[in-house]
Amino acid sequence: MRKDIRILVVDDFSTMRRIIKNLLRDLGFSNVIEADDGKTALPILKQGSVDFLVTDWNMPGMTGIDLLKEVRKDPNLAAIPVLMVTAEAKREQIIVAAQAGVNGYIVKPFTAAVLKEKIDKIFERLEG
Amino acid sequence: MPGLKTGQPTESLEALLQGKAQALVKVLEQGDLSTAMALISELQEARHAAFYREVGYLTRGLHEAIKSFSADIGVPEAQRCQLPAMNDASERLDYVIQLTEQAAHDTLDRVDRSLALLDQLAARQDLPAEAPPKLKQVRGELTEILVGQGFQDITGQLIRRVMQLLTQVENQLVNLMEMAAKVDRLNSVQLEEVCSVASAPDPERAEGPQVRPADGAAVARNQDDVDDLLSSLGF
Repeated sequence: MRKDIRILVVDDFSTMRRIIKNLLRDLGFSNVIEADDGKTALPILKQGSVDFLVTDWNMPGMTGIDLLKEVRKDPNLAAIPVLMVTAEAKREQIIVAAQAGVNGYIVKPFTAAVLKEKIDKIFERLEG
Repeated sequence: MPGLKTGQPTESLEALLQGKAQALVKVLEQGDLSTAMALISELQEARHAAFYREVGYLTRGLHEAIKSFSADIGVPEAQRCQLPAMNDASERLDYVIQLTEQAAHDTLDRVDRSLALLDQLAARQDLPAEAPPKLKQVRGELTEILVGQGFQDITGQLIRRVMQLLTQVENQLVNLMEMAAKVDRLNSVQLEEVCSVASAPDPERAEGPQVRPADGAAVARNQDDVDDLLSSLGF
């Protein structure tokens, strides 16, 4: 897995963005940018330099699930792997996210090991 | 807080009902059906009027209770409009979010600095043999502290939901008071805010952290549950 990929972390809580960013840095990914909801994330994605999207679900403006749908709808963005990191834990919601084309789903609170495992898995699949 | 006379309308309603009922029996005995029907509809109106009056009293009581709560917590008289206690409660909750956010960032700053110190230490050549595994352990603990700050996100989401609930309750209460004012001419209660209707449940609507994660099979209890569900979907 290339470590210089550009990762966009979307969460309305600055604390959570920082935690994820730090964990990604520990995993060797230092090219990380942030957005605080789907609305601000989408234009960043459309600029075309993001390789991997990590997003929360519950956010004002545009939610993570709507952002995921927008990404899958846009032919230029559709191939970007998306990891959802969210407190939403209803089976119904996880199924909705899976059907919308999420690549990985982590429920908060999570551990550093789980984040690493899911990211590894996503890239194993993409590269394998 | 002014005394509430909630008992009174019920008593007068009873007297009214009794009178009307007796009159009804009388006219029925006389075979005067049209008067009987008129009396029945009067009875119904009396019931409605009493109900609305009761709602008016209760609403007014609630409003007075909230106003006196505002006075207790020191909201100036001039600002005691628009159910200020509710606004104040929301503001306090918002402040809790700010405080925990600040505290979490402070902790994260310290974790960052500690990790940097750890890196400096780990780079040294003259470390005793037992140092590297312990440094690694400290790094692991610091990472857990880092991840642990995620509490701020979880509690913040829960608090925001309570704030939403407060807003909804406030709006409904304002509606109720407007209705009561119309029905019962409660002129002393004057609130202008119009309510926004609460939206219907939607499976895509974010629910926030689950407060009772053991709530049956509808909620994934942990990451393993999520993984099982996803693998059953072919992930």
